[in-house]
Amino acid sequence: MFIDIHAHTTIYPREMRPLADKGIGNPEELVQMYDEVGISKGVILSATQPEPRACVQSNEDILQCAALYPDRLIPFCGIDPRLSINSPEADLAFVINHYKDKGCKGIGEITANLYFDDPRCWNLFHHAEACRMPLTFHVATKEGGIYGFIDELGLPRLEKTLQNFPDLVFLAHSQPFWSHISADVNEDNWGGYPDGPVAEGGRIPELLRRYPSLHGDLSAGSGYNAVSRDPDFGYAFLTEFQDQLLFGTDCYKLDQMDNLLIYLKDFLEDGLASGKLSQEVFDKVTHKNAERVLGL
Amino acid sequence: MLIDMHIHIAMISDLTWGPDMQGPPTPEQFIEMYDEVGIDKGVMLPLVIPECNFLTQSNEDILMIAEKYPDRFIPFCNIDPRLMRNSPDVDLSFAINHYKNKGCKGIGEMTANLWWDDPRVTNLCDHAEKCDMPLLFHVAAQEGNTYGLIDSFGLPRLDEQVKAHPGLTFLAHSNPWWSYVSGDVTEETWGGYPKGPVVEGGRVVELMSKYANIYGDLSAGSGYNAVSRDPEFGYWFFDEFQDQLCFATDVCQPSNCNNTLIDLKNFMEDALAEAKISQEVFDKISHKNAERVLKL
Repeated sequence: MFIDIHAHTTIYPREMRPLADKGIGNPEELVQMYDEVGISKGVILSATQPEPRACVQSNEDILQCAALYPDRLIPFCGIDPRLSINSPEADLAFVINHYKDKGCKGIGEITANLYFDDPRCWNLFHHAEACRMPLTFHVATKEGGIYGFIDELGLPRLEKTLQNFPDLVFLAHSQPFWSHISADVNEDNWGGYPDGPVAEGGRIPELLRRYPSLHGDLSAGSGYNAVSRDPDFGYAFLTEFQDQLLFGTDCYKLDQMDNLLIYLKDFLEDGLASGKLSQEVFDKVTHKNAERVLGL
Repeated sequence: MLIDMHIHIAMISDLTWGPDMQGPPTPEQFIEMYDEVGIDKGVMLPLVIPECNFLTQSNEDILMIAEKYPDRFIPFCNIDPRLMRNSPDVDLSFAINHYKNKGCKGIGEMTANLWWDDPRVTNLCDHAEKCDMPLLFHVAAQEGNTYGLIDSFGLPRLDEQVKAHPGLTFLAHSNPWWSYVSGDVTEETWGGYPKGPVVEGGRVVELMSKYANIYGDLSAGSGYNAVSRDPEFGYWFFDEFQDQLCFATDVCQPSNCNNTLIDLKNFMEDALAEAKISQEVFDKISHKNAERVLKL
């Protein structure tokens, strides 16, 4: 069984939205893709923040998608740290609980281009923790020209945040996070997809060991690259952090069917078939961790 | 005939403005309210920008309402200056023209809590001007703990943007704008609703005299207060700026039927009945300016 921790969809037809390319598809497409390759369920993330796209999505859009496929699609809500009055005092629990009551199982994908330790972000983490809602985030390497919470090489601001919110389940995603799987990541490649053998001592293993609340969302090219660039390291990594890693795709359109949708899935299935992953590890990463974290 | 230049509406959300508050009225509630008091059409301003509200709407959510009730509601789109990578170099025309082609007649309510002269805001003004789309905005007196485009006391940054964009129609709204109707506004009062006789030399009068492309959106308590706090001044102001003022309510919850829905309307109708303003002035402010600015 596979649960995809990271997908995107929208109720609105493509022609209604400003799209730079083929854009995000409708729930029918996503479910069709899942059926094709055998993914049982997917978490649909809400894109309510302005930074990543040419259009902003509403949480109600995501809830309508989930209502069409209640057995297949699991809604998250997007909560912008600037909501209401752009203040670290905003009562974000009010809006988080509203969407939790509507069935949302977490918050994200948070892509606001604010520093990780901005007081408004910490206010969001505080309320997410109090409401017991996991939070999926994207990391940015800089302010402007990009989206996601801003950190520096080495992710010091993320670590400070993890220290301060020990009970919040962080679902970490994006290139600037996953590039830190290897100790030789540098200023030039931490926003990309560094390849080749993984050097011991990377910040990701260090942070995962130190903070059990940190979880790895293995979606997208970044997550897949992190575990597959050095396959023996990858299988050992999946085994060591078997309770903190979650299968994900970051898929949203049909032409991802023969690439992003299956890359990680194939890698995990190959690992199982070749005995490099145990059935227990495979089950945890593919769905059991998601079930636990999301309270399914 | 009355065209309401400023409303907030929701069709697929029941999230309220805050604990123990109401949410935006539904289209059906609006039509009932409008029919009751005789307002023909309303301009829907999407709550796309995080600052100002807990609810995040999409432009698509609003377009669905326009499609359902094309004779009663006129859609604006909202374009966050941080859209598409949080950069001053982004081609916002791409998104603006998309929504213009879908029937949107303007941009707003712009509530992003960014400085008026932030390069990202300048970029938005550049593209709005290029796309020939009016921009309706809220002014903020500070960064944080509020919403709207931030200016300093005296509105120097707004002044510069208007000067730099002679082809852009600015639809000005909010307390920090309307408080400047009087020359005696102070650092303490410019974010509120100063009462009493209007003192000559207000910045609103100065700016509207200087720039034919600044329009006053007379909505909310702030717009109503500006023209009614000193009625004789208000009638003169209507007459003097008869080509630059637009009737509006800022109805954003059903309970506004007892205040913002009718306050300005009653004031204008009383002025007409008492011959304090001419029929021509009344017609321009109540609907003809809106028809011209929005190209209806």
